[in-house]
Amino acid sequence: MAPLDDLPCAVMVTDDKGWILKVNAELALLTGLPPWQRGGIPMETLFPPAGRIFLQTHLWPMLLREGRVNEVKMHLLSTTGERLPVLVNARRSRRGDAACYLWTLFVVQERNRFESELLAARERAEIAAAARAAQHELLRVTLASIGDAVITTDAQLRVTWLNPVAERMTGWPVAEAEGQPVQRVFQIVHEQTRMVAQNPVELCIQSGLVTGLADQTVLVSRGGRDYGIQDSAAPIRSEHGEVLGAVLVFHDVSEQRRISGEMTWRATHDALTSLLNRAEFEVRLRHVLRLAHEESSVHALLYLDLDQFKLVNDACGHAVGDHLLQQVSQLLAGVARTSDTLARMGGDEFALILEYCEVEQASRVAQSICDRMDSFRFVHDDRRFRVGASIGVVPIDSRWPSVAAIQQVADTACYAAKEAGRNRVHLWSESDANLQARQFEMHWTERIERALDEAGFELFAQRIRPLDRDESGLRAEILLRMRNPDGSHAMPGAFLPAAERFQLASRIDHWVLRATLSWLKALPRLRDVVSLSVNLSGQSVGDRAFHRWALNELTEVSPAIRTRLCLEITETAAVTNLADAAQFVGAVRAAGVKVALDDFGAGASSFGYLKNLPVDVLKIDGQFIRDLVSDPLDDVAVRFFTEVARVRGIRTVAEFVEHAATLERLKAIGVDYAQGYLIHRPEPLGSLHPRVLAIQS
Amino acid sequence: MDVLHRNHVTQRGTDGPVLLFAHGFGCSQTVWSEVACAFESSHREFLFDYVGSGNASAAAFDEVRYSTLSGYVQDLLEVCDALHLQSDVTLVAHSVSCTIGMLAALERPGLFGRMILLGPSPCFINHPPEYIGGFERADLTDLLTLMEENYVGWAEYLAPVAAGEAGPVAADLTTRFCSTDPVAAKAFARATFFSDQRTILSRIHTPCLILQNRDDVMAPRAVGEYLHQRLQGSTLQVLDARGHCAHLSCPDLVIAAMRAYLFLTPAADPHRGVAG
Repeated sequence: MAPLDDLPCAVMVTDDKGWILKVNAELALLTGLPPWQRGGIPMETLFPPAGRIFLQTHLWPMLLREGRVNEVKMHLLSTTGERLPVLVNARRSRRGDAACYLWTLFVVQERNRFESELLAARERAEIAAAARAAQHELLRVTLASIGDAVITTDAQLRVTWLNPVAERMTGWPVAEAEGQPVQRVFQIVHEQTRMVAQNPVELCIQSGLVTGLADQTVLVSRGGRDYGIQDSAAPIRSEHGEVLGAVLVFHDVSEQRRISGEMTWRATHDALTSLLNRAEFEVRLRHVLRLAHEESSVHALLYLDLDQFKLVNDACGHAVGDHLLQQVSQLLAGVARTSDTLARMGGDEFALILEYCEVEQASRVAQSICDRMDSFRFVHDDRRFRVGASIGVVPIDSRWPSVAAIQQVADTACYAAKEAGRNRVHLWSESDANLQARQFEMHWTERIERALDEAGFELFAQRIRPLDRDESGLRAEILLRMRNPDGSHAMPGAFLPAAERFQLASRIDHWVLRATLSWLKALPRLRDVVSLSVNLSGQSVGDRAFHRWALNELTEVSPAIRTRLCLEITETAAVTNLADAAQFVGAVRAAGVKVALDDFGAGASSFGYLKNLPVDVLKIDGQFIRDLVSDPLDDVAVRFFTEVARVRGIRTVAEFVEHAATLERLKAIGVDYAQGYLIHRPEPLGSLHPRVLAIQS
Repeated sequence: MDVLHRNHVTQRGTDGPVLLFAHGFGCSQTVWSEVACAFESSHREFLFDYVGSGNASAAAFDEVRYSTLSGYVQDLLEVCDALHLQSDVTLVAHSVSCTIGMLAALERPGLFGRMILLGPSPCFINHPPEYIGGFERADLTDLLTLMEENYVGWAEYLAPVAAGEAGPVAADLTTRFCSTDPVAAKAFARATFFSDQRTILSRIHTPCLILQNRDDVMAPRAVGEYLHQRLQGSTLQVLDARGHCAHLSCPDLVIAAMRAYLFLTPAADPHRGVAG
């Protein structure tokens, strides 16, 4: 058996009861046992107690049953008392009749160290794995409970997992979704076009970058339900940066979109009429103007101001006024094409942009609006109101440098329409000298201020003639003109609208009243004047401060002057501020000043007002006079007004008398006075000398 | 879970008195194959694996339940219940199962008619001077380390080796011979070696045969005598065997001793039980 001694490992032979029969030189060296010793030593003595237990409970039973054990780790007690780690292998063999066991014991000190390290590493790995598992569990629980929907896919875009929110929104249970192409589970389309939108997971895997979703994307669930969503997809990478798949996170923004849609709606629309508001109108106008510049295309803008709206609003209350605005809005919407932009600019002003529309066509549209307005009656409490619209039409083309410039001329054109008589269209044109002048309007405020300060105004007068007799003294209506730098005169129609808008009308009234009174006071012979009428703006009629000031002024002049003065207030202004107006009218009349109701018949013309508002003169609106001879209705109206006035003891004046036939007819009807170009064209007051006038007439 | 499945209960023989075999720590029911074979014609035999050992269901392992011997006691009693065994069972137990059997007998008096205890020890730890179990606490800590070191490899090594040698059936037996789950094995080791049940011995009235191996580091002779003195109705027989697994190393000795006890000593006669 000498060759066994040459083996580089420990070897021994035992019997089937565990007695050591032989050991080789190596084992003898390690353990101090005498080599090839027979009997007497049980093999347990080679091992420390723990080894003995393991030997008895594991190694021997196995060896006895299976006939072999492989690589069992044990510790060998060395001669020095050290414990040498060994790997034990054993085989059953026979020795004569008896079974014996051959053992090899490899000392694995170095290997043991590696193994220990390996074990320790393994332990750490297990702890880390456990921590990872715990983390994974935490992540799973987190993903399952967060409000966002989460879908993960592999690199082939196949769904690997969905959280419950994603299951609910897509309508795909995770069990069914798993392995499906993500495009099938996560179906997205564009909100408006319904075209299939590009899947962010696809993009993200292609690019390897975090990908957001285009706005207005809608998720269509398996059951066909839409969810407005916002999402992003991010690639999942291995430690080496390889894209393994993607994680898609999205959430339901339907409600958010609805609210933001509503916010957008509110920001761009007028709450009362549901038309676009001024801000949105300006955005669209800017867009159209840009188109005009870029494409040299032509569009049109209609600026529309309601006539008599204020009357309804003040007479019947704001709620009724609102109702009127709504009805008018519907009427306008009925005229506009869907591609047109119809907006309420505020108050009773509207605007309509007609895209790709020549001015001629736009004028026809404007006229059709006027036609409809003409036949439209606003009914409230059995009262019927006729509401007109003054419309300015302006081409939108490359001539305009800015949106403001267009709005400016449109506004002016609108006022021009109003000035020309209500419910009509005024088409802006380059050759329209009158309107060109109005391009100065943006300076009107400034000009008015300057005129007030620097005597830029001049009093004109237009004579009023009695129809039933001759009159030698001056009877006239004071008119106002503003001197232009070139020496010409601007008409009130040019600056009064601006004055009214900028609350300058009362200051003008101050100036006019004071100037008139001064002129009267300065007259050498007061009896040369019979009556001078001064117009008061609606603003002054409703302004108590003005009332106090005016009464004060009037009480400071002589009664003779007061009796020669007549204050004209418009029917509309009077009705609007009826209580205040009545009080003021009562006070000035008590002072001997006469009061005329101007533009009678232009508005809601209720004679009932006359009861509460006793006046001296009634001035019949020009619209009844212009066609008096040809229009029987006008004739009836004028007769009616005159009849009522007579009953009430009120004198009547017909305005806008331009033809002799008209004059004759007015005489026949019994109107007291006439005024108009036929009688007299307005002249500067200063150039009117009563006697000269008398001679002329 | 079905207990018969959970504890991998197997039956040998169909007639005769019931023998219930309980394996010890580190093994499985397969250790009993030769012994059980000898009584197959005369007895109805049931074998089982504790949860954590052999072919018992790994899924049923519960670290808390099996951290003390009471978990194994429950296994034993539940197996009896599942088999509708209520009395006159002869328990054949090895090593720690002897203690488990005694605890079961206390909990269910009358279940066991008698017990054959092979290599029993109520406590493996030394409590000098009155009791020498054979080991110090530190030794048992070393054991756990050793088990750890081996179990890591065993799960991977054993199956292919055995399969190559003896085919699939043997492979199954081999793999399951020892528990390959270090957690369950260590739990059983702790329950076994840190348990001290010396105080229950005087309360055991079941007649029993103590089979003491002549030379066993796990259960020294003194321990066998200690038991015999305290167990009423015990018979002590010393087998001429080395090591702790006489049923494997010297099955003939074990069979002969059992045969003598089973056939010559009527279980019903308590007077015979106290003899010896």
